[in-house]
Amino acid sequence: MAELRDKLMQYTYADTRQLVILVEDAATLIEQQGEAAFAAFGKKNSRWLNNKYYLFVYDIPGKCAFHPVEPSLIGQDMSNFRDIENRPVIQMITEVGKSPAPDSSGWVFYLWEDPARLFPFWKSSYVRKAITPQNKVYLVGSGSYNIKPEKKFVQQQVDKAAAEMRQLGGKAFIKKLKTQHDNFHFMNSYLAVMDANGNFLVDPNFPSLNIKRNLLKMFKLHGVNIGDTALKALKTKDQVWVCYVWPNEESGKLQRKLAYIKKVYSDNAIYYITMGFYPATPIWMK
Amino acid sequence: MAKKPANLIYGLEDRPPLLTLFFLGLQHIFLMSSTLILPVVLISEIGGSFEQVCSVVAMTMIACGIGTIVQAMRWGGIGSGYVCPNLCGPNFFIASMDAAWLGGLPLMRGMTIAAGLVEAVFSRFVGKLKFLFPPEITGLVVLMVAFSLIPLGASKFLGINYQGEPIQINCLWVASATLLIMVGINVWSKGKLRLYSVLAGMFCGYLLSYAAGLITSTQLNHLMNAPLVASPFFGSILNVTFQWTLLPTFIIVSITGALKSFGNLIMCEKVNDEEWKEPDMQRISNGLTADAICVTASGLLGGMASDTSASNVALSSASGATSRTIAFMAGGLFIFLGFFPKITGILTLMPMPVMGAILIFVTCFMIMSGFQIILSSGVNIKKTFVVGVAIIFAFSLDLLPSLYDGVPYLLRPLFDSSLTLSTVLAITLNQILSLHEEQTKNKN
Repeated sequence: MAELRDKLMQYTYADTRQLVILVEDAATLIEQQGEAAFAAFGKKNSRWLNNKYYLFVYDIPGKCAFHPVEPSLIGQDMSNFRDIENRPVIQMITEVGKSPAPDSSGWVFYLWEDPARLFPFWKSSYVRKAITPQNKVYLVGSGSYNIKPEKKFVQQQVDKAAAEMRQLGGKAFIKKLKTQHDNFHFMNSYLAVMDANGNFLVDPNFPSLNIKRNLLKMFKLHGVNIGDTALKALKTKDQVWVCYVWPNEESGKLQRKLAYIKKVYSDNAIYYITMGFYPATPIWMK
Repeated sequence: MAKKPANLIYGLEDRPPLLTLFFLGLQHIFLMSSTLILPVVLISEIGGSFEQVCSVVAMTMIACGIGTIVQAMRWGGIGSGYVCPNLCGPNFFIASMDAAWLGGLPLMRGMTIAAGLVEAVFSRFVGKLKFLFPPEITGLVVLMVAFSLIPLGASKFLGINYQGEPIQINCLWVASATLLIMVGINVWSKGKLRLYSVLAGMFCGYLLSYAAGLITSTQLNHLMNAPLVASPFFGSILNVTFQWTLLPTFIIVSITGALKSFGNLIMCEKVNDEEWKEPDMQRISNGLTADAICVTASGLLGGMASDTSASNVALSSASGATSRTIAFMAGGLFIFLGFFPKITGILTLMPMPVMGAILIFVTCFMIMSGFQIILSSGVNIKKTFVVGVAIIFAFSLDLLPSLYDGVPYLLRPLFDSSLTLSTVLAITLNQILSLHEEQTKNKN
């Protein structure tokens, strides 16, 4: 109970919390009843299956164990399934189960091809590991098309990128980001990498052009140099949240934006990995 | 000389017994606390510490307490003498957030001080603008202030904070019950029970919210762990910065706030005078100066910018108690409680449905007052167009904001709030349509 409360405290929006509670409760049911819980998950107009939510279940190798919307997938090995931008969706889901914690959880973002829609849509899914009484490990999850970006999402993507950079080495990681499509970007949030002086090594705005930008020269708005503030803070901290005002890519209007910057030591150098998002405005303020 | 309306139990100059005064003051401070969640949200958004949140909330309370007392005085051109308390101003929220977002609390404080000074200058000129504010326009301002409370009240009533969130059924039930209790006491009770309709509704609302699980154990833990007495954090009182490029935004917010206070003070006049005909501009000017002092004090102390509270004015009307001693009690209590984090915690924990029900309850009174003021001097064809056109375009801005996306940059401030747009439109139209009357008078 206390763990769930701690998990929920990490989210700002009620609809995110609602999705987390649904999946956490489904995982608890699997932990208690094993595969028998799937029958309840498949009941139409129930809490588990309605016009807003449905649950999916995969095992660790990536075989679909339960899918009420696409029953033909059940029993199939889906580990090689990729979205339109080549993201290994099911591998990203099963990755959550590889953490040693018995109740590990995480968010997965992908472009989902829904038969009821013309184009693939961004889907944000919350996935939770559940171990049955027979010790079988499953990944249960549910997603939403309309979820608002949360601090937790951005932090998770940057932390994942930092872990991969540490594993591959800075230069190799940057080369991979430049040559392959990255799995970190979701919705309007893109991953950027800078050196210790704020020079962009991976620039989401100019992925292929050889344009050199510097953080210190970018974020000067209303006389406040956000880049300078961020780099100063990073001298004493390993990660910081930076808030600033930035034109929204869709509306063009200035909007509050939050960016998470993490310092990574690799190849005897310091790198900064960053990603930002536009937090939602309260409904009564519109 | 104002004539005390028959429905007032305690008029402006009356002195309620001490215990009654205490409960009436308490009722006001609960309502004044309904927006204390704003500094909590703001400081949390910019990643501030728990101590900073406590400090900003405490300082906001102290500044609002000072403002409430100063407003109730009539002292050398400062204060309207009415119960027109200050609370943490929702219309300042976005501008304050932008400043805090860019330059932290020092910039928010600097810009708040600037906004207070702008209002102080505006307040000195407003007395000369009486010709711009006939009853139909002052009534319109009151009406638009009431309409500005609707989004906050309705969203809290349904338990929704952000777009896409579902209606919280628990919240809806508790809010409906709380509203019914307050309305029921007002409609059916006799005697002095009406004085405490909001307090009674709030008490039941808190109990129902707890029973419905709307006050979480985490919130209660925070409350239990807060110290009983603590001095607000004065560490960085001189840490103030200023940014010229943010000034236009704060000027607009300050003028909009002043217009809202203008409407609130007119409502105070009307509530306290059965024979009210037109605004007393000198008194309103003094009231705006008191409001400006409160905003400046918020910035100097390190709190969030404040505003006069339309809901508290409507509460005075609803409870039938407008004695200025209530303002002294409420202001004094608010300052006093700024030093008691545990009690401040209870106020800031006000559940959403309770907040929503109170806002809906008091907005009803404001809407009727607005209509009454508009219609107080009769209806003619000129007023029909002045009020009608202003309301139509104000609503178009609220209902279809994207209609105005292409407005030139210089005119943008006019379209930042429907209150500003409707006031400017009504004043302009009234002056144009009065030209013919002036010419006819001159010819005769």
